[in-house]
Amino acid sequence: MDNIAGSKSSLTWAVHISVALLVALWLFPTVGLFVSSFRTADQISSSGWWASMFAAEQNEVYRTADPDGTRVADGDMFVVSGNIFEAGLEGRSISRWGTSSRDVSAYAVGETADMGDGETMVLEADGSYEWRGTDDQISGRGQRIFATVTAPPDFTTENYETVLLSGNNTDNMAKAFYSTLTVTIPATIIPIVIAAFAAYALAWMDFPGRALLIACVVGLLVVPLQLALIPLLKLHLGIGIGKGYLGVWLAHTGFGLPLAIYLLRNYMVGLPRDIIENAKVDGATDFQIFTKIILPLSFPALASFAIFQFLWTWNDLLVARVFLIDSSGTTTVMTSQIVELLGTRGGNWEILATAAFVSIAVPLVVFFAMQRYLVRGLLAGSVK
Amino acid sequence: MAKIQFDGVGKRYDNGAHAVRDLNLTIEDGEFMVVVGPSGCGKSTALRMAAGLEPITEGRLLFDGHEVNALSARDRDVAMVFQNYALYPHMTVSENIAFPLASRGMAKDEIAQRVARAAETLGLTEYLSRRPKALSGGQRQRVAMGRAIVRDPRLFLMDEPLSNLDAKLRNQMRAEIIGLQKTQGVTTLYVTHDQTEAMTMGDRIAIMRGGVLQQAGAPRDLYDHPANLFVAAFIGSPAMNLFQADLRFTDSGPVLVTSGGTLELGPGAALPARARDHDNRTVVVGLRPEHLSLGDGPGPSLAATLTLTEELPPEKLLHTLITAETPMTDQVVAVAADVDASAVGDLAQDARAHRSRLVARLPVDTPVPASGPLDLRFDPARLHLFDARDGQVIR
Repeated sequence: MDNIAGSKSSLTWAVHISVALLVALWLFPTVGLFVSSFRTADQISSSGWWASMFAAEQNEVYRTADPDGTRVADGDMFVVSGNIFEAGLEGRSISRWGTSSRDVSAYAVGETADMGDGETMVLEADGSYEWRGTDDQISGRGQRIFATVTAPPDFTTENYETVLLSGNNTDNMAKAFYSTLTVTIPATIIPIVIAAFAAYALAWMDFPGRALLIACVVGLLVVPLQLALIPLLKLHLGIGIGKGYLGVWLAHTGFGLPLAIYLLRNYMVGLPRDIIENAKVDGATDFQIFTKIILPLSFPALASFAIFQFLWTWNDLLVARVFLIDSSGTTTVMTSQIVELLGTRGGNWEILATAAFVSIAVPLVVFFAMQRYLVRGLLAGSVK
Repeated sequence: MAKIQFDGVGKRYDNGAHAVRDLNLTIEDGEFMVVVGPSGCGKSTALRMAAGLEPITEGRLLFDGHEVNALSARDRDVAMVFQNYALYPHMTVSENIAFPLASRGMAKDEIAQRVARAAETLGLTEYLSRRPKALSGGQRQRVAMGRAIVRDPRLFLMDEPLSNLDAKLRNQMRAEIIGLQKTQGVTTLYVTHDQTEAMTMGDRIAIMRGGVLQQAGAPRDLYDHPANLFVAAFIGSPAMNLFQADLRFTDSGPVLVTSGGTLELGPGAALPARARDHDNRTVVVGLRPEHLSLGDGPGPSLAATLTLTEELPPEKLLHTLITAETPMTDQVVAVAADVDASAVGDLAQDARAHRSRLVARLPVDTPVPASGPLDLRFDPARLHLFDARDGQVIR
């Protein structure tokens, strides 16, 4: 008995560890994309996204205000005072600083830097400075200050503005976002509706050739869709559908149907026979049984297929490229847009990360909204 | 409400299996007919054919004299209660009860009225907005009943509706179903496995075995005058005692010769008229446990060995063994097999040992020794004699 208990617990551990690993595997890139999409190009190139959560120390160059107009006479000396941190940079603090690029951390904060001939500079941790010198020294441009600055985490929504709202034609994803929605929603609903009817007939209606039809559907599951791309496109062009939304809806419907019918039929065939027979005795027509009994009870299966179909039409590039996108560029979907971005803005990680996150945001929302239907036991209490 | 006639109805599946053969049975208007039999006897198939869920392959099914063979389930206007209730899990109790009305397109206020009435009859009023999974077994059973009584169907069909309930609740629901059927007056076809249920509920009982109707009649009629060994062994609890004997007509009257001795029935014994035809033949003797008594009374006596006493006031059951061949006809074995495979083994063991089990039902205060030999007496007029070859009763 000890052995059995022992092996069970080690198996449980293996499961837990695998789950933790898988979660980490999926979570790290997603969170990375998410964080990167809120950072500027400079931040991305200077530190990793994981460092952006914490205050970071970095060397920066500032310049005091120009003396002309701001200097104040103090006896025979002139003084320029102010703060090197302009508005928007509050919260930073300085640890070391210098006045020459040869030694950027020559002084501690509050120390007086002797710049020769009586010219001095004092810099406090909060960035306030006092620059003192003769008329000759305090003139021209402001003095450069090299500072080792500890900056608090800093995020920006600028990338989203670029990608969604403003931006030029190549950067702007808003239009592609709507194109993708236009493709995805009908391409999810149409196959579900057709497959639900077909699955009911294949599961619960007696007609000759039913078994053969089911076998055909199962057979179609293994046919790769690449096989059908060119003949189907030829057909679309031949019968006048051409490249467009209608074509891509039909293609997605066709490619999704075998799995949809198979999945829904298997679910429906497992519904208790008594319930359906009872409905028949109660006087329901086949259509009433379908709409009032089968569909509500099949909701978990419908929801899970909807999630699948939504996700892979949303992420689809191939079918959209073949059946949808034409030279006008008005129907470009997001996946295709991101591919183009890789070409045009390959170095701009902030734009790419933002675009990628925009494209995965909707699937995430859909998944979390629907996942509870995947596990809900709708049948509890029906029999026995 | 209708008179239902099975006229030579049969069911043969594509693979050749014959589930029901030549069923002739009439259920009068308003009658409570119970079909009973061991599993696989075709009783459920007969019920499903009446419901229209199973196509009828032979014969005719008549509702009020009109053939309904070709009518689909929804057009037959019957109501059915399934063994597992088959409630619609996604609907509330009131939606469940309203479903048969709604699917026939009845007006909303009429539906509400009828549902309220049915719920009140069954004491479900306070549960109307619940889902089936929030109900107890008995309540689910009532919802299933409510769905049947909410419209006035021509025929109630019930497929072992009480088998999922525990014993106490079963007794209560049994009485409720009888009461409901009597007040509604709807013709009812009730299928069950349990002969107690059949005896207590049915106006008439039809016993089936292997797709063939064995006997149909009032419960007392079946109990007192079983048509064959199967009915005799199936009806009654504890079951009828059966043993083999040779029937001989001697100068001193008929005698039964068993392997353990000769039973003199006496010159005036009232045997069935056809018993004479079985002179010098082996017959199966049947004796109800309550027709056995102890002591010096009149009638022939059986030398028995007491093995066990069960007291269940107001009666006690004496389990005894006598020296007589156990009948191993297929009918007797079929009844034993329906109880359990081990019961068949016990029967075979008895047959090999040339002994038969005999159960006597006596008042609980009868003085009985703890074990040992007993003299069991019986009234020859209470004997049932069956032909040992085909199991038919000798009339």
